[in-house]
Amino acid sequence: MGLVELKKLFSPHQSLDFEKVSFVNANARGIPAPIVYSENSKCDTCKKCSTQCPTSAIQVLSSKEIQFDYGACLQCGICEDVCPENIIKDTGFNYVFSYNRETLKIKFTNGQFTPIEDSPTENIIKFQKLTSIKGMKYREVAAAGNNSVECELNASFNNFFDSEGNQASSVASPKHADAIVYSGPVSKNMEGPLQTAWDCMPEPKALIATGTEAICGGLYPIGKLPSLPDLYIGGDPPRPDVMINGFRFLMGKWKFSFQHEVFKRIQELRAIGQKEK
Amino acid sequence: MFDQYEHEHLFVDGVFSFNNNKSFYKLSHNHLGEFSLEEKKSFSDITNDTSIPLWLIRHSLGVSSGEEDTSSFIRVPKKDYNYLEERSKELELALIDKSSIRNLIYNGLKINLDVGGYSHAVGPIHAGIIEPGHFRFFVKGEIIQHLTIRLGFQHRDILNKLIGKSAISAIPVSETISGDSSVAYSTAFSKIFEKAAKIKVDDDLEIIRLILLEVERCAIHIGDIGAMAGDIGYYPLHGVCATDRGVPLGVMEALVGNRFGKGGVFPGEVRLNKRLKKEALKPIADNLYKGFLRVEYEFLRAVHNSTIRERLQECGNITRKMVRQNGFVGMPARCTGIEMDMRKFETLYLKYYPISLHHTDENLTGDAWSRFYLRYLELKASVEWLCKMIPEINIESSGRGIHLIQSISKFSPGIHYQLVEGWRGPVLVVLQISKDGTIQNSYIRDPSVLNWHALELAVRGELIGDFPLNNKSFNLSYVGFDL
Repeated sequence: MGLVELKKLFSPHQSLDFEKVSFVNANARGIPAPIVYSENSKCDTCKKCSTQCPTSAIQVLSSKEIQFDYGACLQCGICEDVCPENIIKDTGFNYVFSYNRETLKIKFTNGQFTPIEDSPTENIIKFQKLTSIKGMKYREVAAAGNNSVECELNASFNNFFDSEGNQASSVASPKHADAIVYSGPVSKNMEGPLQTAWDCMPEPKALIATGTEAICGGLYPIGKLPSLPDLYIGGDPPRPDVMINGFRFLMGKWKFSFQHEVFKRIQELRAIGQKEK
Repeated sequence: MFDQYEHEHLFVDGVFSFNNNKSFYKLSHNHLGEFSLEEKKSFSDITNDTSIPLWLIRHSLGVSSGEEDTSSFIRVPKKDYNYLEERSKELELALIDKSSIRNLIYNGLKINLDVGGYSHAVGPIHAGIIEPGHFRFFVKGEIIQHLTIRLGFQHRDILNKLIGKSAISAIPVSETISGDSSVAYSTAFSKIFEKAAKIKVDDDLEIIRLILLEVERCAIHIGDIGAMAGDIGYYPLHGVCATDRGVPLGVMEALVGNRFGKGGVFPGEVRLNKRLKKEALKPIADNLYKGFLRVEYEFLRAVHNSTIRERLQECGNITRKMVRQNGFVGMPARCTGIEMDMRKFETLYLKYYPISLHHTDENLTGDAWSRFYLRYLELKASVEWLCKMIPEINIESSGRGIHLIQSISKFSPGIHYQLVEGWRGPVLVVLQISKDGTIQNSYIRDPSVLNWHALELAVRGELIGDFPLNNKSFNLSYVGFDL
């Protein structure tokens, strides 16, 4: 018995290195984007993607303009299946998070867009001063989320993802917490408890919307939030590594720009498409 | 003697009313898996039917009645304190008048306090990363005398939201009923729409669905074994399980592209991962088996070399009598040795390689240990079955699209139902479907609806400090109850 423990002590650690992480998972579906784009598409008459999307995350504005709201995207891949011209493709990109809600919306004009930088608000800068070295403690409030986010948050404490090693840990009371992580569309009966939890936290504090349902309600109408979230993490549910890197991003331990990385990924996929031709 | 009883026993699956309480229905099945849908004329027919568990009635037909005041009902607790086990007294507590019954949503709670005892309220926000619910303990010293569980914090009005939805738009909603049982619910919804549209689904596809269900079961069972070990402070097993729970989740991700199987099962189709290749299936199965071996090694070491068994035995007991009286389903029923598994009516499990479902071990006595050990038995059976079946997946059979159901315009209208054995127990979905294939009425019953009461009964007489352990040994869904 002792030998087993001794062997484990000297074997290399298995946890993920969050500095060298890939934004694209080998297996997981990611966000969709118009990868293959032709000048004479019939998007304005087809609109199948926008009508079939469960959360109406896609808006076809004209034959040339199409807007994706990645904050509302469940990453279900239905739009890719229904697109008759195979314009929309799964990018496999999972790292959907930003400080601002607007950064998660991308408008493609002729299949192109200009990425914008994600700027932290004043509150986030204050929050980062507190947490960038010491790390943060958070309190999780399940506000009508479908318990998959809770499963993934629990998974983030295992020895592969190692949330505590990355200085994001969970505490029992909001009074001891720097941030509130909430999941789900905030049902009517959870509005009060969420507000109470938020009110008894000391300043500076942050509100983290975890999962698509927490950002925009997903399939349900979103309830009243105690404040505007400081970090939006998309996905249904977000993978544990996405959440931990999101927390590191909020703490200012890690540089990331959602739109720039999506831009790079799309260029990469188009280059692969060109080669295959 | 018990088996004799079992054969006469009717399993009541659900009670619901459609069309503004004009008609009430009772859905039940017998030991041969034959279902019957009975229509009842009045509400009193339902409450007088003693075969229907009270929690089932309170969940679907209960109404909100403001603050609950049970202080006049609860007498000074004695050792043989069992007023809730008698149905008439239970009804007395729940009935508002002859036509309405109290629901199980928290609206304030008043409980009589005995001298020397205290009331201990927990929630809605709990200390761990779990869902919200209100638990009111009545404790004397360190011993729980009584527990009242009231939920409803996550009510999202799913049943009304489903009205008017077509097959394609109902599936994403079904996956949010309870995220950890996504595959079970989407399979139940898909099968109902297939019945209504009269689509015959290929056996290959049905088997992929069963595989996804078993993968879901493996992931949660490994996680629960670890969480129970963590709750009693045995970390070697906790650590291994927390990590290797990722293996079945990874298998699910490799098969359908989401760690919880979301977007995988659709009516008439299974949308397998587009990146999945035939030659990758064998390594996936091997990987799953290796992960299981790591868990098994650590599990057996924990069981043989530590006092984990003694710690869990005689903790959170439920008896067969309780199961029969209150209609518990799934694992709380099976942990008492009752063989109650909807999978035994699914012939496809037998087609290639039979799954072992008969866990009649002497360890299954209804305590926390039996739930811990049963998880291991079920996990082992599922992994063995999966390792045989995953390499057999016919990738070509997957439609990888969602077009089939959309091409059908004529549906057979009426009430359709489906029970699917998820990892928690059988999930029941009843949908009334119109001619054009949209949902008119719906009733959804998670196994947790019945089993929350099992937790209330199991913790009586237990230490208050053991409550997290007992709760975890059931691991019930809050959101599947609240809908």
